Amino acid sequence: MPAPLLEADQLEFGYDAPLLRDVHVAADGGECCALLGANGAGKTTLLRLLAGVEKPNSGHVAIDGDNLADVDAAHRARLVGYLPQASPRATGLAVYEVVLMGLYPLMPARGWESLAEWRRVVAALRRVGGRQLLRREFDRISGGEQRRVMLARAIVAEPPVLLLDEPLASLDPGFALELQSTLAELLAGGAAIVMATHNLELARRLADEVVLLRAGAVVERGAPADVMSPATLDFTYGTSAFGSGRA
Amino acid sequence: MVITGTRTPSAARNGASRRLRRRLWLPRRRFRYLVSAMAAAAVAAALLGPLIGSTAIDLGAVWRRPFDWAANPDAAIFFVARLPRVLLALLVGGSLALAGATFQSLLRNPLATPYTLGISSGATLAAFLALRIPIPAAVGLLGELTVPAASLAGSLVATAIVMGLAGRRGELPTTVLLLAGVSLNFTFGAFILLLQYFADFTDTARMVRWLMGDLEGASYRLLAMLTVAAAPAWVLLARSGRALNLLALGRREAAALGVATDRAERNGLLGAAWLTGLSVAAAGPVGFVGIIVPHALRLLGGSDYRVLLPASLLGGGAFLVLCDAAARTLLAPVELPIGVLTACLGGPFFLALLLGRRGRPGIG
Repeated sequence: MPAPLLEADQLEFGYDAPLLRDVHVAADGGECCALLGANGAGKTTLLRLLAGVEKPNSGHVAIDGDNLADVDAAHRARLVGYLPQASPRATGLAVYEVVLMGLYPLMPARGWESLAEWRRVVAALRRVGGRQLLRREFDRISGGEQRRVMLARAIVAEPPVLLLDEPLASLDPGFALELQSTLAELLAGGAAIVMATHNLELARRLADEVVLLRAGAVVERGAPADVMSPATLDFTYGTSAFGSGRA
Repeated sequence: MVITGTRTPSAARNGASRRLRRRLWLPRRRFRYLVSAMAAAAVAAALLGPLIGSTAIDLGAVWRRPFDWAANPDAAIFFVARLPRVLLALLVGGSLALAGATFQSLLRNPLATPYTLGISSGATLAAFLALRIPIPAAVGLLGELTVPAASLAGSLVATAIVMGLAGRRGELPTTVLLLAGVSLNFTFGAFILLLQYFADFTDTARMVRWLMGDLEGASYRLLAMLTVAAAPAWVLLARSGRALNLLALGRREAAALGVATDRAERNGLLGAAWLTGLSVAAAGPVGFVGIIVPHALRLLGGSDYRVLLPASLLGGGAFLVLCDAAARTLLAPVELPIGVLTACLGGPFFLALLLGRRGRPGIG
């Protein structure tokens, strides 16, 4: 069996104290992997490692057979679309300029974008329901609108791997539903998606595999129906609210 | 979009392209307009600048051959007194504006100036030391360039200190850089005051004069050295627009979108620090250009660094020539220090731009 599109193995990361211990994540084209865990469990850190934005202390991340540690930043950026948790502030840029940045990795090192690139920018914005935002100032649109724009930036280059940190955060419920179908389309188109989310419903609907993280270590992994039991969820989130009957 | 029966799809597509091009103020067009305008301003400044001054000169007489300074005062004023000074203003203004824009991206702070990291304080301290304690051997070797050379050395030491303090595993965290720079500014500032306190009358006057910025030292030799030294940094920075666009949003953003962040940040900082050090060495710490010019250009043409950096290089030069022309004429025959003029002219000009923009819809 060939290696999956995205595979991370034995990832260890931490500055002083370890933040991630022996984490394994994999997703093939068309597959969605959801990372679940309490605040501070290491979801965002894990996504950063997968995006190559942070370097693991040990272990490796491979995308399409390329070890991220061995490829240059530009090549890595062509493989991965990354939606960070927070939107940038005080950019001074128009929305179309922010989305265009997603195409930088595809553009030659020098020279200007052509009209074809601008059409892709418009198409990506339309895909996230943000076509009307095109000419607005990024700093002056609402937080939810900024999320849409950032999502458009992550998908505009149509990278094989999408890493989404809280894709539904600050989105209104109507658009959250629309976005689920957009993500399903992307999966049908062959993209591999790894997302960190607190939205269990989203994980149940979309994910082929969920990875439950607690304090930087994997608690459980598997199909949503198999692993998202009240007992595991209670343990993962350190609560008894899911009704397993124990604290 | 409605495609009528008479239009072919390709015609409709061209129509859509035209509309899109019209609707978006594309960075490429901004580059074309703004950079051409700034280039024209810089050329005009270089050509017209030498004509302005306390003494009117006859442009026809300037070109009369043979060039004999003693017999032809017009040519002497043009070529010896004014042209080097105008060219120095062009180089220094452009370098400072370019360095300022770069620091604003790298420090992710719109208030960053070329002097934020303490580079100019280091330069000033070293220059004052050279003024106070002239080492005979050095003076003999460097002559008129002793103080500029000391100043450049001081800026390099300051850069090394600040980057050494902030550098950790190859990264340069913004907050640490900023705080290290601010502390360095204070520390050097204290020593500068101490030197001034113990200086005699003549030296104090020279120091104060130096602090106000001074284009008097312009000579063709200095211009040639400055150009050769600064040109690589101009090219390096003016071409790193895409990386600086991303770095301005954050290190991780930049890394995720394909920037080799450690190298890009180090190159950007070193390039901008080098230009700052050279400018301060050549003309003293001329204030304001490094922050006002990039921001004025942002208001005119947006924040895309691919446009902003080359426009700052050209516009900063033109701006400083303009300030220098004003400094030489406003209170003629008294010549004002250039550093005083940049703030006097730049402040109100910038406020006017800012107020004019308020309430206007965004770029695009």
